[in-house]
Amino acid sequence: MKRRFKVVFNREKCKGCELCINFCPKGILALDPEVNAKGYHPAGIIDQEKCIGCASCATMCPDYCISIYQLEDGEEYDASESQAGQM
Amino acid sequence: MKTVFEPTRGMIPTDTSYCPGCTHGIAHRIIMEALEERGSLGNTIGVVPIGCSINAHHFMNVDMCESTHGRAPAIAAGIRRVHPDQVVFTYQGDGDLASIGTAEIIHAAHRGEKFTTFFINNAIYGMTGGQMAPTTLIGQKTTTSVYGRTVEQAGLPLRMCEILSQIDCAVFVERVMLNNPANVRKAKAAVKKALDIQDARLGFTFVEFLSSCPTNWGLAPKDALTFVEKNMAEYYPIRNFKTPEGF
Amino acid sequence: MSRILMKGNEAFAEAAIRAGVKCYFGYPITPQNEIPEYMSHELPKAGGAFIQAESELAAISMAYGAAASGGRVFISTSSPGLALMQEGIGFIASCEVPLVILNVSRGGPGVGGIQPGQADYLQVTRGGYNGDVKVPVFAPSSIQECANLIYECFDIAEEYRNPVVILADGMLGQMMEPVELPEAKGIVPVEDINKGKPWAITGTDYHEGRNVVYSLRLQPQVLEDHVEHLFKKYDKAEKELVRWSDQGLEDAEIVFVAFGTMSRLCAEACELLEERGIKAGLIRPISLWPYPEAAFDKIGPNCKVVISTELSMGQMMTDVKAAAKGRWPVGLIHRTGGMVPSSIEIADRSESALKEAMK
Repeated sequence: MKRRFKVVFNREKCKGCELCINFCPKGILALDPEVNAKGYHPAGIIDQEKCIGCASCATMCPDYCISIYQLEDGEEYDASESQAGQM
Repeated sequence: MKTVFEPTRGMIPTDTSYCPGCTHGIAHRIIMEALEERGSLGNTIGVVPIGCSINAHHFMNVDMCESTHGRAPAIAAGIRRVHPDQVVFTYQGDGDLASIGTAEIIHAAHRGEKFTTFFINNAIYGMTGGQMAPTTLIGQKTTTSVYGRTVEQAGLPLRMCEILSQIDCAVFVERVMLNNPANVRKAKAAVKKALDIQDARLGFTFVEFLSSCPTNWGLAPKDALTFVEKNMAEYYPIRNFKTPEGF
Repeated sequence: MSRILMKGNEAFAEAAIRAGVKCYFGYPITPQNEIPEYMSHELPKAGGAFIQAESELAAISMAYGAAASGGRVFISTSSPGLALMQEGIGFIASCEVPLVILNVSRGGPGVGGIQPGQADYLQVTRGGYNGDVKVPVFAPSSIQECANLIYECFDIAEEYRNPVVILADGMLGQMMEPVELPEAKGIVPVEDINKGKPWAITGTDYHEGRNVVYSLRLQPQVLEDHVEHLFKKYDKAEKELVRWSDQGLEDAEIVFVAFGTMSRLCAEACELLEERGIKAGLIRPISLWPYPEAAFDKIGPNCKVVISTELSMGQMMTDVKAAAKGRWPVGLIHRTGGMVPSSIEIADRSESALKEAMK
């Protein structure tokens, strides 16, 4: 059974540096067209299903904005849970 | 749900003052992750430098003190004399360590001081607006080398790992870089090793992180990391210079 | 406790050890080298730590680290070395860290000489550091007094959370006198540091919350508030730390103002002048900051001239004139470069000054 991951971004902490986007091997991260309170376009995930849980994004994030969880069997994604969630 | 990655308790959950994409954030994080993972957050004392990371004490969740410019290794030596059992580290930039602080770092290494120095080398003076550092590369443009650094004017850049590894009591000397996830993970491994060797009280431990300064280099954060990989690593080879036996 | 004949520098080191000092960091510089030498073998025996630092810049930094992490720290140097420590002293005061610094002063300027001098008066009382801080300064005039002050000043430094400087001239460091040393206090164990110093950086396991020792405050109002806070301490110090001794002020025609070894020569000069039928008195500041202005209010109605008597070009004159408040002319008797006058020379020159003042 394929492992499924959820990536949560702290939208307000992010400075839009794009390192996570640059290093994501699946290309599933992007900048949000909406700005956060600091005026940055924060990063977010555009396709949770494709995430392989490599944590490259979190490893490169200088502002420790990213949390990654592995969903158990039967658990569903809940976009309302994460602060940034899916875009 | 199982946690794969969460921000470490070693970093205080506040906005950092660093520029977007500044590798200080990555270096801070892996050091504090290492301290958290080994259960050392409660018995660590850190010394911050003069430089952008003077603010590190707002972000690192351990007891800390400021330093006068370049003197962090001497300050840490004083702390170590009062606290033989704590984890002690200094965190310094290239002006702090390789310019004004060369006497202090060399003598700390020479005395085999039982603390770890984390050296953030981004080849420029960030906080003061982009002047040349002792580690600025030949040809690199900065506000005090606007046509590019030349040997005639400023000499060759200082290679601190190479200098310190010649000192007998510097027992662990390694240069790492923060340009991609794999190398960040290797850097964290070097941090952990340095702290383990500190625990064994074998001598002075030193990790140099090749880092970026997107703002003063005038490069986007990801392009700045390419500069680290292609230009800096060419002059500052990534390797372990010295490890004590058994580690 | 018996009195023993000791060299000044060694007595000062021993007094610091007995005060429970944990660390000494020093760099050799004449005329105080006996202090690091003594500390190097005696302090470790008492459970303390000694480092011969690579420079005075490193020594003051080591002292800051050890003191910020809660240790009781003593350092010593001489005049050019103190000049190197200036940045550190101001920084440490802003960080509110206690420290006792002994300056065994010598002739300047520059490398100068190694014979005694008092030309550090301005350096210690005004400081060569940046920004608004004050540092209490004490000037002993005997080995016993210096040893007592060293022993006491750790408590003062810790009460005020500030560096304290003791200014002893080279003569005091090098001469030998009988001294009775105080009882030894133990070194405070690491686990008890935060009981007396809740602010010390010892590791968060040892205390509530997280401690940070720092001086940078980028928001101007925050920095102003901090400086105002420091100055509340200094206001208290101005009331509580003033010390001086005086003699013969009630009917004196000449009043000497002198500290350190010069005060002993002036006391002798007073006796010589008495033999010549001239009444002379002496104000001996023991605290140089805060300056004992109140002492001058004790000067009697016969005074014709107040004479600052110094081993410098008159660095104390500004403070003497301020304390005199225009009530008497203020003269200067001075030697410099390491030259020390005899009491006869002082008596002769003061007699001339008196004649001048009476014209």
